Amino acid sequence: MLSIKNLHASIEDKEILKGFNLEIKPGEVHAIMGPNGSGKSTLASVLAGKEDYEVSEGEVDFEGKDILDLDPNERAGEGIFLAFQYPVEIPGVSMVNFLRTSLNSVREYRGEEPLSAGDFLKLMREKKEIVELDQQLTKRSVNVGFSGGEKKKNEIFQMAMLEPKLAILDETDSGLDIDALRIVSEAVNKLRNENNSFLVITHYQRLLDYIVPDFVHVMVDGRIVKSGGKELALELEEKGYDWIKAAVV
Amino acid sequence: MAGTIIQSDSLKDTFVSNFRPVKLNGNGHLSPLQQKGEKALAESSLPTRKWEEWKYTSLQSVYEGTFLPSSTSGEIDITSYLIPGLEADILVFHNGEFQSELSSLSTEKKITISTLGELDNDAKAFYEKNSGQFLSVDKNVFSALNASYAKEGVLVHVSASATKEKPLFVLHLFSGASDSAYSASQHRNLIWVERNAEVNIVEKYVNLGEGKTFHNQTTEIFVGDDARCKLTRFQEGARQGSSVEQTQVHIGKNANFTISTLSFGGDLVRNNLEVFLDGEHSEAHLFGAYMLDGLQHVDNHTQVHHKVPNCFSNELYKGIIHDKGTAVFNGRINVYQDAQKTNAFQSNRNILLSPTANIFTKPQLEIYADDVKCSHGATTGQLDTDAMFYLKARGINETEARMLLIQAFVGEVTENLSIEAVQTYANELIANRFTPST
Repeated sequence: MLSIKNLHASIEDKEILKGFNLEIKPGEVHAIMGPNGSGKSTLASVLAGKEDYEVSEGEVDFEGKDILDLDPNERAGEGIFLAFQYPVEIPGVSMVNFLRTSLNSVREYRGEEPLSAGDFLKLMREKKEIVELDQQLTKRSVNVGFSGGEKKKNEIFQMAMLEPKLAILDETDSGLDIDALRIVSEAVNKLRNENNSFLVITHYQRLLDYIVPDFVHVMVDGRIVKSGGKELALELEEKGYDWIKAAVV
Repeated sequence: MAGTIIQSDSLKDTFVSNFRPVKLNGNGHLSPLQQKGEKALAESSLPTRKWEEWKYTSLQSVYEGTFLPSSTSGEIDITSYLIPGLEADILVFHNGEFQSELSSLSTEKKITISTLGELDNDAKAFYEKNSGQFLSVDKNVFSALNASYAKEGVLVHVSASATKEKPLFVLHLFSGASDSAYSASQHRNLIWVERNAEVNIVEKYVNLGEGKTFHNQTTEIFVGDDARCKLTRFQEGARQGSSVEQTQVHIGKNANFTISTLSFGGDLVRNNLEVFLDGEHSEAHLFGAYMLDGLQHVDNHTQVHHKVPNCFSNELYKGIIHDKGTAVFNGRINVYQDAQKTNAFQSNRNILLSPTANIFTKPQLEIYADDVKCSHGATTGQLDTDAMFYLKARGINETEARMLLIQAFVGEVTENLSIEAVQTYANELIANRFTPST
């Protein structure tokens, strides 16, 4: 599904990703862990198409397509979803208007008809239940007046609406209390199936108790330095990152 | 251009004599106001960029212009210029001339609505008594020209405790005959809302064709004690419409006045708005929005005078400027010495969509009382790039994402429009403003 080869990316002439490689197959859940500043969030932003980053080398193939030349909205249309670490507040744009525009844009990209107002509202009600999102929140402006936990739930809610093939969760667990973490994780597990994949970026092992990964990768200084199964996360939790950093140098 | 403008009597004389065709059809009889205007005209000067109040708006092209008397020809289908769903009495003007066959007024007790050309004796007496009471004719050449030669306009007189049931919709259509000479018109309006009365007025100014037009207008508004008055202006002047407007408002005790000035274009638009809170516990709300592109120039000058204690004023102007458009905002709040417990707020916020767009903004606050709550401020920026990326990452394309953010930004102004059809119409204008018509 996703094949990243020798990816180099920089921001303001500072290279962050330094030859990153990763293969993800349909149905797989990959976790990327690593110390602060290792480039985890940069990876997420580059995959989603944030223009601040410059890709100098390498390729990213998604379902047989080179996505590096696609705009962020086209990548979303292809089925890539980024759950933001810091969801953006957009005063004046209502959640409903935002979601309808988003969903119909993605449908249009895929050559599908826009959803009728009735079908849209029905879908929204359905998906809202998955993340136990407060009914009132969809009446507000996008992320405005949402608590930290509600913002993260809102990301997963949008993911549920858009049904992406590949979802990148960028530190979705940060700032979540245990209840919100459980709700978010259960929602992800409900949405998980043999056709879609997840790339879970996290600093802590805690989230991976709930969203059990097939593979765990450790990222240090812009590339993966160690890969393993879910037990690698536990090892990291126990030993910290220093032993890996030491092994790399 | 700065520094090359020469103020000379000869330029004024040329302008006034060129403008003269506009005063045709006068009946020879001069009212006291007209006499005052004539006198002021002789003594007045042309505002130039040397004047602090006109620093960023040059009317040189108007002064050097030639003018055609307003002419109307052919039948106009106004259907497409109406506001969908707005149930209102309608007055239609074409190049300043009243179009009675396109207009429709309901008769309501204790409410007089008339064009100046059709005043009956009582209304004429009322108009002559009250017009020119507030607005000084010698402010500049435009106020003087207006006082001496404006022969058309609207009189709205709502008697004490009367409520105008339907809103009044005043539709101004303009069509120029030439790309070089202005088709010119002048209006003089008087809106008089007596004690405990209420009225809601919506005005729309729209250019039909391509020719140049110039409209010089004054509006005097009196809002009596406990009265309520709302005025919404849509300025849709398109490419060739220029106008100078002076509005002066006086608000009595416990009264409430709201004005919304929504400018979607115009070649050269100057709005002067002056609001006096004359009675205690009165409120003034001043909303404005402007969306400009091309070489359009819109200048909003506002002044709020807190003369007495315990009044509230709130002013919010927001604008989006594209291409080489220029917007000017100059807002001044004056809190007089006696005006304790004043609450006065003012905010001007702008988004520039291109590196060649201009905004000149100057919020001013003058306070002579010591127990007041006042704030003012101005911001200028670009569309939020984080918000843009967020929207795009959700599949929304660049154009649509921009549109959503623009609508959200200006929507903070239009959400205050009390008539639903008017708000819907405003939001549609906003949504379509920078998208090529399909």
